[in-house]
Amino acid sequence: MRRIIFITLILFLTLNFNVWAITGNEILKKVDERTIGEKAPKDVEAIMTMTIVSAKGTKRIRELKAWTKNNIDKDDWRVMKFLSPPDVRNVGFLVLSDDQMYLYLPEFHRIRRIASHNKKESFMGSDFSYEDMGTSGFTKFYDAKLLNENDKEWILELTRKPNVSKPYSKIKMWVSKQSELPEKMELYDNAGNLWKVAEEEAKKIGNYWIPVKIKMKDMKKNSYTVLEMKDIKVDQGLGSRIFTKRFLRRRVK
Amino acid sequence: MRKIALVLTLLLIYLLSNAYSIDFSGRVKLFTSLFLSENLNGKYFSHESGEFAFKRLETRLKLAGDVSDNVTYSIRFDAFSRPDALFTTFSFPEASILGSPSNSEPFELSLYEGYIKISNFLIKNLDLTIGKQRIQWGTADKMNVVDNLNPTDFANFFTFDPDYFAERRPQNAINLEFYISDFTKFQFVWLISRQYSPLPTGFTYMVTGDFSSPIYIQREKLLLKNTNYGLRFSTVLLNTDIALSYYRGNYHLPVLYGISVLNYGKPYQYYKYPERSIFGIDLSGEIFSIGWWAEFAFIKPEKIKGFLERPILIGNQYQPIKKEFSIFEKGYYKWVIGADYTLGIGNGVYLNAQYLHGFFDERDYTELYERYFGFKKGMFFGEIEDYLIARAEYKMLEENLKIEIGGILEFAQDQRAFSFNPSIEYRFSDAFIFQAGVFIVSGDEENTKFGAFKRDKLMYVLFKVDF
Repeated sequence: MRRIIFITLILFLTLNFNVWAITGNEILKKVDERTIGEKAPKDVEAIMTMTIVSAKGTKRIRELKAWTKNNIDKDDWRVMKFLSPPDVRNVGFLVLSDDQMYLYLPEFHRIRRIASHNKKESFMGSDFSYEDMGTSGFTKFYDAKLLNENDKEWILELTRKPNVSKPYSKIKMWVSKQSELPEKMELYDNAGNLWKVAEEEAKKIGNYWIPVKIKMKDMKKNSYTVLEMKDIKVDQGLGSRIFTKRFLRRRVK
Repeated sequence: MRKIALVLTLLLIYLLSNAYSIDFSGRVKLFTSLFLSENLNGKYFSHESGEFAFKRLETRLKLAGDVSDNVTYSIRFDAFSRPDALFTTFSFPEASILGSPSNSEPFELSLYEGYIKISNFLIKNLDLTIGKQRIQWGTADKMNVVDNLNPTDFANFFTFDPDYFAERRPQNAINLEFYISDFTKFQFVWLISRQYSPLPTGFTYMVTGDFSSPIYIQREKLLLKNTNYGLRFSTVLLNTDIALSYYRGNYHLPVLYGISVLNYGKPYQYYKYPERSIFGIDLSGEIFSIGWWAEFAFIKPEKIKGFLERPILIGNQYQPIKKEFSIFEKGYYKWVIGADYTLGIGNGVYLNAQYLHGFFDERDYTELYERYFGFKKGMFFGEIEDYLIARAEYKMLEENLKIEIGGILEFAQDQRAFSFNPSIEYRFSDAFIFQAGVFIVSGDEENTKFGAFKRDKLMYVLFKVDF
C-alpha cells in the first residue's frame, strides 16, 4: 500500500512538474512549429482581402493572391500579387529571405530589389509592415518568458535578442493552447511604447491550424487593418518556380 | 466621325471585356505647367511669367487577358489631346496616326504597347514575347546606362511631366527568355527595326543653336542587316543580382555628322543614327540594410566620318572645300552607382541617391569633331558629364500625402548647375491622385545643360484617375 502511495505521489509530482516546467521558449517553439515548422502546411495559397480603416473611419480595400512555401530550417518564400484596386493591380511582391525581396511594378515593367531597410515600412499603405507580412518565426529573434496561463491560453513576454534587427523590442503574446498560435500580440517599439496590437483568428483546415483573420491596430496612428483569407488551399506541392521573378511578372487571374 | 468610331470601339472593348473576363483598366490624366518667371529671349523657351507652358489630357486604356493557360496578351492605347511635345515632328516614328484636324482640336491616338506572351514556348522554361513591348534592363533607378533596347522619349522630357522623366518607349521585338534555373536567365531580344527616340520640335537648336536651317536625317533602309539585337545573362550570386549584357544597334538619338554652308550661306545640317555595341554589367544587392545598385556600360561606336563644307575665297572666286574628320574614335564608358535607405524618423524618410557618369544623350567625341562643331560638356548631345541625383521622400496623413525633395547636381567642365524639384502628392482615394511640383534651376546658364533653364522656372499640377 505504501508502495502504491509512493508511486502515485511520484507520478503526480512528475506530471505536475511537467505541467509547470514548460518554459516560455518551449511555447514559442510550438508557435514556430505551427507557423514555419513541421506542423505548418508545406505550402499555402489564398486570396487575401485587406481592409484598411483610417483614424477617421475611411475604408480602403485591397485584394491580393498569396502563395507561401514553408522551407524547414530555411527562410520561407512568399509571393503576393495585387488583384485590386486598379492602381496597384498586378503589382507583385516576392520574399525569398530577410534580405532578398523584389517588387514588381507592372507600369514600368520593372522588378526592383527591395533592401531590408524597408521592412519597417507600411505594406502598401496598411498597418502591416513588410516585416509583419513575412514568416520568419520568433525563436530565432526573441527570448520568451511565460507570464501566466489559464485553461485556454499561455501569456508570454518576448524580448528581442541582442544584435537582432527586428522592429519590435518586446512582444506580449497570448498563445492559444488549442491551436498553439498567437491569438493576440502587443507589439512594442524600441522605446518600449505600445505600437501595435494584433488579434488573430485561426481555423482548422485539413490537419493544420491556420490564421484566417488578423486585425492589426496601430496605436500611434489609431488606424487598423483587417486581413482576411479565403479560398485557402494547403499542401498543393507548390514548386519553386512560383517563387521566382519569372512568376512575379505573370498576370494573375 | 473618327471620334464616334473610337467611342464605339471602346464600348465594344468594354462589352467584350465583361463577356470574356478580359482585364480592362486605364487612366485619365490632366497635366498642366505654368512658367513662374519671365524669359522673353530664352535659349529654349520664350515666355512671360504666368504663361502656361504645357497642357495635356492623357487617357490610357489597357486590355489584358489569356488566350490559353500559357498564352497571354496585353494591349495599351494612349490617347492625347494637345499632344504638343510628342507627335508634332512628322518625320519621327511616333508621328500622327489618327487625328482630328490639328488646327482645331489636336488629338492623337497611339498604340503604346501590344504583345503576346507564350510561356513554355516549344520547350519548358522558354518564354516568347512578340510585339511592341518595353524590355527593361538594369538595376539603377531610371538613370540606367545598360537599358538600351527601348529609346528614351526625348520629346516628352521637355514637358517636365515627372511621369516622362527619362522614360523609354516600347518597341517591336521578339523577346526570348530562357530560364536555366529559377534565378538564372538567358535572354535574346531581336528588335525588328531600328529604334529612334521621339524628338522635340526644333531639337536642332540644342545641337547647333540653329533653329531654322534645313536638316537632312539619314535613316537606314529596313533591311535585315539593319535590325538590332541584345543578349543578356542574369543570375544571383552571393546574394547579389548580377547581369551581363550586350546590345548591338543604332544610337537612338541622331548624331550631327555634317554641316554644309555652300548653299548661299544657308547651312544644311546632316544627321544620322550610327551603330554602336554596348557591353554592360549591372548589379544590385544590400549591405547593412542599405540597398545598392551599379551599372557599367562600355560603348563601342561605329567609326564614322563627319564633314564641314564651306566656300573659301581663292583669288576672286569662291571654291568649296570639304574637311573630313572622325566623329568617334574609341570606345567610352558610362556608369551609375546608387543606394537607398529609410531613416527611422517619424513614418520613415526614404533617401535615394545616384551618381551618374553619362546622361542618355551624351557621347565621347573626337577633339576635331568637338572643335569643328562646337560640342562640349554642358550641352544636350554634348560630351559626357557627371551628375548627382538625389531625393528624399516622406509620407504622412495616413500615407496619403507624400512630400518629395529632389534635385540634380550637374558637374560640367568647371561649371555647376543645380536643378531643384520638390513636389507633393496627395491621394484622395485609391484611384485619384493629385500631384504638384516646381522646377527651379540655379548655376551657370551658359555652360551647363540644366543651367540653360535657369530663367524657365515652372510649376506643374497633375491629376490622375485610375480605373
